[in-house]
Amino acid sequence: MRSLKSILSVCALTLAAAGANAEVVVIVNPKNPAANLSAEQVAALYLGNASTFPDGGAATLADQPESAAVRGAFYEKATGRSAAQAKATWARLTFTGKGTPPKELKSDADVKAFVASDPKAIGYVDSSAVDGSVKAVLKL
Amino acid sequence: MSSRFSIIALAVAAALPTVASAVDFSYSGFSTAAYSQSDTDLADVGYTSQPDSIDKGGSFETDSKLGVQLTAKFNDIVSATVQGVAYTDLTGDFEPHLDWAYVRAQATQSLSFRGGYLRAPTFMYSDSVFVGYANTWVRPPLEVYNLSPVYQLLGVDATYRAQLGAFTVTVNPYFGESEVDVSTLKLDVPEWKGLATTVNVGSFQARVGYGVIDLETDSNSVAALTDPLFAIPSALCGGCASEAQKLLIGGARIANLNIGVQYDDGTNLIASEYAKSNTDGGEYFMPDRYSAYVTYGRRFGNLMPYATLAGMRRETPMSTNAISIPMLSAAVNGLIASQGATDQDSYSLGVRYELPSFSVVKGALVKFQYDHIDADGRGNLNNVQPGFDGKIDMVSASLDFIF
Repeated sequence: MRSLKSILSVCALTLAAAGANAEVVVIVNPKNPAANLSAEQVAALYLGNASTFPDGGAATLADQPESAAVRGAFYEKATGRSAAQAKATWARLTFTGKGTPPKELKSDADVKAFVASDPKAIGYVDSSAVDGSVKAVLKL
Repeated sequence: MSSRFSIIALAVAAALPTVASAVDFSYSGFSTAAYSQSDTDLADVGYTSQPDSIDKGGSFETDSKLGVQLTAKFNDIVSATVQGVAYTDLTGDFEPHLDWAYVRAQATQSLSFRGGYLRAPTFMYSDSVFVGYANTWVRPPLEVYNLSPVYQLLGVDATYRAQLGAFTVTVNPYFGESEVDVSTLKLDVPEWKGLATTVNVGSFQARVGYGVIDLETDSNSVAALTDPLFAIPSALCGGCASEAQKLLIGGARIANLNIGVQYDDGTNLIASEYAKSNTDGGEYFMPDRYSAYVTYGRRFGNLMPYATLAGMRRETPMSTNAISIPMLSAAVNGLIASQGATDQDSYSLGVRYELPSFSVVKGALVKFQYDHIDADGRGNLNNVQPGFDGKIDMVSASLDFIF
């Protein structure tokens, strides 16, 4: 009985740790006037339903590589869709001239550098990568 | 002359690197390799008038495609896009086509204009129907998607997008012309105009499209029948001239109304469209019809089973008693009975499975689909032979990539 309990608590701890590791933060350039964004607003941008920030300014989207765990976690949490579903949506938009898919970068550091250097940029990174060069607008 | 030419050439060559460095080029592509086979040789399934479409002998051609797109972005406002797609056209040849070639100007954040070769948004998925990776099915429900004889527009369109609280409203008017080579004749569209309005809210999308197509054709295959009908004074045969007009594709006007809804919450997908086509002139060949389909799919991780129900109803009568001259009446009724789509129902069951991406392939899918078609007569089918009982069972498999 006791051993089962300890196994369960280990499981719970592992799950909690995995959850903490997978915390995704949406970041924008410090010059962006938005103090925070809702998951719906971020989803609209990353599913091609909106191309501007709430203040009307154009948005340039950064994506993570397909192999990065943070990519799947971001799409699941922000849009309620898998990264593959978002890809099908972007294929539709790309080949009908209705949108340009997010720019795929190589790592958290690259996304952060991209967002820090472009006032129109938005991206997402693992929470551990966030620093003063960018502004966190949504924790997922 | 030649020295002036070489000076110009030199100047262009010198300018190219600076232009090229300022232009942001991007390329992408899509492909579908699909095979379908039915259980009959007495009728073919495919796009209207497409020769060699799907029958018992099987077809790789009907749904297979290869598309490559190149976009040059000159600045934040102007870009140019070219998309070449190889597919089997209505002459039956698998060959490359310049499907899209346009210059786009983003006038404001919410308003853009395009000019060139475009695909008109007649139905909800008309403009992306060749991109297998973006679609649920192996092919769109043909009961609806066969209602328009043309897809490609040479002209201009505008897209206006407004954010009204939680609602995104997109208004897309278009105007231009078109032409298409069918195996037996060439269709010209001197004027094509339409409007598509879409509302998105959360997981829900609703769309209304309306388009008017004016048709001309070089074919005069029914002149032997229509010439005498027009020649007879209306005092002798009141209905002759108007019935003759219904046999002429040249001068016909097709009005397409389309209402579509889509709900996609990430797990459940529902897509449904209603379409109504009214033809003024030539309706014995392109009858007035209405059709609808509903698709439901449910995602289990990478796997999505889906089901579709579709139907089409013909409204143009299959005979006429407006011609008072017996011999002509018999000839016209014989022609009417042999032309134009008739009622058809179908259901489809399929699965769509997302494969892991690899190398330059950014996304890969495999789909399997079973269709059962139940046509009243020739339905919406091609090359229908005597003895066809209206029923077709068909299986399809496709492999879709984006790169």
